[in-house]
Amino acid sequence: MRALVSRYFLCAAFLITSFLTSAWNAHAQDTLDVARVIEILAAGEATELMAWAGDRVELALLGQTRRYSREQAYYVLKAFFHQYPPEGFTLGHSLTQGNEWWLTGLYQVRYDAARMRVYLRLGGKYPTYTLLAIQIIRM
Amino acid sequence: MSWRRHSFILVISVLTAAVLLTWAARSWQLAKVSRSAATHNASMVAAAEEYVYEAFAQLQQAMLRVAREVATDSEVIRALAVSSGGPDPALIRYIAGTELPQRWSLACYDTLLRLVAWQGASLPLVAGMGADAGHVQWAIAHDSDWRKALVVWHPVLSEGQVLGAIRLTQLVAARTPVRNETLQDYAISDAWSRNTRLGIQAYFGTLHKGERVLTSLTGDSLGTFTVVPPTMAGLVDATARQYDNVLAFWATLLIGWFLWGLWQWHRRALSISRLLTLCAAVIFARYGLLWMDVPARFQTGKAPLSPLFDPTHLASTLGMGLMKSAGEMLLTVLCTVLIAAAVMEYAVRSSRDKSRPPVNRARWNLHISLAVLIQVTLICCLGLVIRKSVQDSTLNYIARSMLVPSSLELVVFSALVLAVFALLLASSGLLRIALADSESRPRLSKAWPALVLALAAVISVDLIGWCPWPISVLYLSVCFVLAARKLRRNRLSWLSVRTVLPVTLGISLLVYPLFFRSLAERQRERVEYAAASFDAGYDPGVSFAVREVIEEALRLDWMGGRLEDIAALDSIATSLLNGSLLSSFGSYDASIAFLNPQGEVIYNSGTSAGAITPDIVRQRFAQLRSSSDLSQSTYAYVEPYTSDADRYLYAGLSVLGAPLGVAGAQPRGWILVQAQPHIVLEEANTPLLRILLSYGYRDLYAKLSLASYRDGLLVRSVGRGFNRYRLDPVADARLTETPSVWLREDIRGRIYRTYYWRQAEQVVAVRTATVGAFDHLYYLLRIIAGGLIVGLFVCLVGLTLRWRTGQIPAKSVQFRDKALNAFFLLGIVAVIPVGIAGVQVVTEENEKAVQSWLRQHLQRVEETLATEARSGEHSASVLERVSIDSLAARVGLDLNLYHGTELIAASRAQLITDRIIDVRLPAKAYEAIGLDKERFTFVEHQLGDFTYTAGYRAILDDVGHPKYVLSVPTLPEAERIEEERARTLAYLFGALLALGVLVLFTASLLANALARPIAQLQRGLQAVAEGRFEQMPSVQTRDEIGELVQTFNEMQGQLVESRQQLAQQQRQLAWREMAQQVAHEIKNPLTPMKLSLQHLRRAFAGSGNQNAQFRQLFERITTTLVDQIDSLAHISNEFASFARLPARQITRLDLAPVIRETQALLQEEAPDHVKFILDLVEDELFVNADRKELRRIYINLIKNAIEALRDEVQGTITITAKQMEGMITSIVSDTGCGIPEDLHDHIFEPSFSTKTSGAGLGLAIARQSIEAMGGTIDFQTSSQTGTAMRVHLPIAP
Repeated sequence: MRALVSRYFLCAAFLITSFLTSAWNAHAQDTLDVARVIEILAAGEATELMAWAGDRVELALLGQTRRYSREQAYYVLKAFFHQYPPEGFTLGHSLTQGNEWWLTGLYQVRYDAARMRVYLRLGGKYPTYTLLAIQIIRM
Repeated sequence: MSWRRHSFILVISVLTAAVLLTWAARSWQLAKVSRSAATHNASMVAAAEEYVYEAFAQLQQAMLRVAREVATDSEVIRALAVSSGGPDPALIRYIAGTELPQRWSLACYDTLLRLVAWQGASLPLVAGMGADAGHVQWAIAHDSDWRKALVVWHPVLSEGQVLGAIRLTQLVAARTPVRNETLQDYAISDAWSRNTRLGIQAYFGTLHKGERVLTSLTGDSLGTFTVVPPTMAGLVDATARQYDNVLAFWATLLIGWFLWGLWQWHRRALSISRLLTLCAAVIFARYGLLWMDVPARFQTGKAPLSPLFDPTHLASTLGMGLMKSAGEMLLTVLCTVLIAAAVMEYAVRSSRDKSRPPVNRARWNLHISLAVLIQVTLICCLGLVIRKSVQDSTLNYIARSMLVPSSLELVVFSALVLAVFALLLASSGLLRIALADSESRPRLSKAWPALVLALAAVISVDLIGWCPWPISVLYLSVCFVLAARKLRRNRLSWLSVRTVLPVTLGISLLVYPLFFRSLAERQRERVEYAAASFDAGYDPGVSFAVREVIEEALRLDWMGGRLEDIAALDSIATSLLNGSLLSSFGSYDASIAFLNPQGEVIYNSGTSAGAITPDIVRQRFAQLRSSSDLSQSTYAYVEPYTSDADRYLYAGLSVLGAPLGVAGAQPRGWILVQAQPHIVLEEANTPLLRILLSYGYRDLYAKLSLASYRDGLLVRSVGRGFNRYRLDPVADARLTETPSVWLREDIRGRIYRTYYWRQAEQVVAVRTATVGAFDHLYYLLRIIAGGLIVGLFVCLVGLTLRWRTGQIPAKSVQFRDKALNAFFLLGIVAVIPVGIAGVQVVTEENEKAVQSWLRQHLQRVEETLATEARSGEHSASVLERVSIDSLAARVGLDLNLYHGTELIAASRAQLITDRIIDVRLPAKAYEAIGLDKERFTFVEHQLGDFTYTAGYRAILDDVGHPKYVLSVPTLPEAERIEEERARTLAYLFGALLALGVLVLFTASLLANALARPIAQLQRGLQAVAEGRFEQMPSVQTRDEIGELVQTFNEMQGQLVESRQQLAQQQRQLAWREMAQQVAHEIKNPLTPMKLSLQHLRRAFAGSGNQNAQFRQLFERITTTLVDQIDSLAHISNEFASFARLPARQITRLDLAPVIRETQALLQEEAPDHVKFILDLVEDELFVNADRKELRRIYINLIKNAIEALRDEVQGTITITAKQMEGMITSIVSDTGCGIPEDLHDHIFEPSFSTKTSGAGLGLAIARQSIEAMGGTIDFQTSSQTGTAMRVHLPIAP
């Protein structure tokens, strides 16, 4: 039996590991904490931001608008934060409109004087929200 | 320690040292940069400035060179010398034909600044640039804020007199109305920034204080530029990144070299631990590269491969980053191929290893079960990878714009094909390992537990939904077939085109079902999202953006006279819109209007000037003012404002200065914020200009038809898919059971899939066309294109390896391979020209179709003009009376109208404002219509990377001269035209692919058919050469090869017979010699012995010995001795007669008397229990034979029969003779126990006998005699009926 295990099982384990899904699966969090959102954007944490996202999320980053899957959006945001590392984030105001909630703020880029305006569009009802869209515009 | 090991360790050591040294240098450099950042910054900025000066000077020199060449050309000088102010045909052709780089334009002016010839885009003349100037001038021309160009003005001189000038321009900055994949802003400073890696901003035409000045070659100031120095932290970060890149490079080399060493180590011994170590190393190496961000870190910004690593195209979290971009996905798949190759390599070596003990049946079943389970898991993983590559991607895999996919899509397709290849390789390798362990050849009955497990696993996979069970079964079957196939020793031969091509096609076919399933899922999700969006009715983002602008405006102080100050209002409006969410929607025109308390417009501005006029502002203000309840709030809630079914306008209104509803408060004014879809996109009732869609445009409803029903009646629809005004009864009935349903509907012969969704009181329906056979072919061809790239790469690698190992050119080639290669080459040679010709034909036909389309439409426009004409009015006059907009609306086309060389009207005026259409007639159009007097021509235009065609038609005046030129561009139809072209090409390539496969298949069959008989012939000849005389199987061909095989078989038969005869003769000769010798040696002493005995007996008789007992004994012994001597003499005689070959006396004699005579002779010797039966026909049976010899034959045969019956209780010997089939057949049969089967081949051999007495020569002599007479002898025997010896003798004539 030991030979059997060593021959097939381990071999299979390596093969499957090469494919297999140690997939990161963000799951929607129960409640949205605005203070935490500020911290996340100030730190450029794509992982935690996407934890509030639905299966599909719309990202409009500096003029390029696309609808991504949550997993793809995670990497797109990560690349954005890598290219424009955050220096800080200041929450502007929040507005509700119908079933949606809008959060706006200013994103300060490190090594750069540029500031960007950030819009977060969330759906659902208090206290459970789902991130529907993120829009970032260069000011 | 071998030299290989030495070199391996040496390279590892060198690379490790390189890593350490780079790390040390990094630390030292970072410390240095931190200490002297300011100095470092200054040197970098100085170098960048130097570069900009140099690049700008080189650009001017290049322009000056071209301008001088044109200005000094004799043709130009001659044309300007004779010019009377009008265009000169020769000069126009010369200038139009001059080769220019992209973004350059050329024009020729006379001394009065009249345009004589031109090429390229037009830009306004620069004030102060005189045509009469006799020297070179430099300037910056600008076209509002849209375009700026560097201009060189070179005089055309003749004998010192100025005849005119050449104006050469190069765009240095250009703005586009939208930014998308095709259209991008351009700035020459971007290239400078890329090359210097520092931010460079250039301002042309204006001089900024404190900035570096860009001067012309003549010393004029043309602009300024600044180099943005990096910050201290940025500098340190950039320096660290540079060293990190070098470190990553060394580490990558180290990993690669280490893996190479492991691979060699793995191959040196058959060891599972080595295999596992290698696999683990590959996995760790892959994650190591991911951790170092290699190779993505080398491909950032504008690097050629940067799109490969851009997550906006494809990115998934599967495997913690293994698919975080298309490029990473490809690398991961390559690593998987490496692992699969290692497994297969181990499997092949393992199956050839005879030293391993086999396992028993139970354990073998377990092995197979595990192998199958692993396979199913791998299939499941493959399904997941394919699903993720579609779901987590924004690539348009099913774009119809072009047959050949984009480079990124090709990479994904190639990766998927490779993934399937890896799966098949690994799975079949595992199965091979399991099969090799069986103690005997595997049988289905043994593997039943494995099959049960496989079935269960496959069904469970289907439950997961990643890979449907029929596809899983298909993959499993292919794996089993591959595992069962014997691999050739020469594995490199698999890497030939002949093998790779069908394998690639097969794998593409395996990829397609899974890929299409994921595409269908994505389409389904898109349709459901579109339904939800359609139900919402408007874009909440735009709505919020309008509201946000109003809120920002309300935060300002509106007291005082601010609302009366137009400049202040302009500044406020600009600051409100700049950087706002509203201005970011590229597909919307936004405007801010300020109105006084009475509703009169004070100020109106927007992102698109002129799109929202003051009249529109007043109209909307009145509507909103009347419909909105402003008493409860300081601003109006923004609501979708609809005028058409599928077009929404957004407007927000608020008071400024004082809230409404407050007693005594007086408003100081109003602010009206509006957003409406970009007018340039939907105008003149012509198709949407998708080329002008910005990145931000939400093309959600593309190729969908949507409808909304309330109480079963249609209330709103988009697209042309819904003609019924009532909800489909079937859908209505189904929606009572479930909130949403998908239906397949046949609407007037076309099949659609419709999604019905009940929401509150209404039902939303979204309809999309089903995927037809063409679509499947089209998608499949795109995947095959990716597969062929992989296949081509594999073939090239194979070719290189085979050449390096000396297999190319081959020392010997099999005829089958040669024939197959010839057929295959023939097929390729036939297919390629057909493909090239086909593409050319399709392209030409497409161009002809476009031209025909343009010609017909321009004809229609002219006919419309004719119908509009009053009595005696000419078409040209009608154009002066009828507006171009109304004409365009009537014919449903975009129209541009030129007078002379200038554009005077366009149905999409915004295109002129946005500089999409040039205001000058293209030189080639002028050349054809103005110079060559043609009524119609067409010209290709370039818009970014996009090419389209425009048709031009001359509109003649009453004397037959072209007064106007009407133009119809194909821009709105470009997508449809390209789709049709792609469709035709897809059919063509589909047919060619099918032809290629057919050729390959037929070539294989033909080569096999041709090679099989030749191979048989070769095997037969080889057998003959080796002394084996095997009869070849018959060849079912009627050609020369079949006859050749047949002749060879006959020759081989004759050869076998001759060889047997020769061997028999040799044996007989040897026997005769031996018999003669034996007879001689035995016979010689026998006579004296017998005489001596007889003498002794006589002497004894005369001695008078009376002892009766002794006498009796003496008599018995001597008698026995005499008998034995006689017996020896008899044997000796037999040997002598066998060897002697007495001279025969051949006579014609009757066989029957000889048989009777012989039977009578032997009757006496036969025991009593043997009965003779003679069955001889009455006819005479004449043969040519020696009588004595013939009698001896029958004596031998009958004696043998008697011997066979000696131990029997009762026996019968039957002798027959009669004519049969032209021969006289005589049979001597007995009823004995027959001849044992193992003795059949030996009974005619000399010295063979089953008897205890005799020399065993009877049958040998008999056959020898019979064959000498021209006859044959054979026998039939069985243990039940006895033996029948059959003698066939020719009839004597």
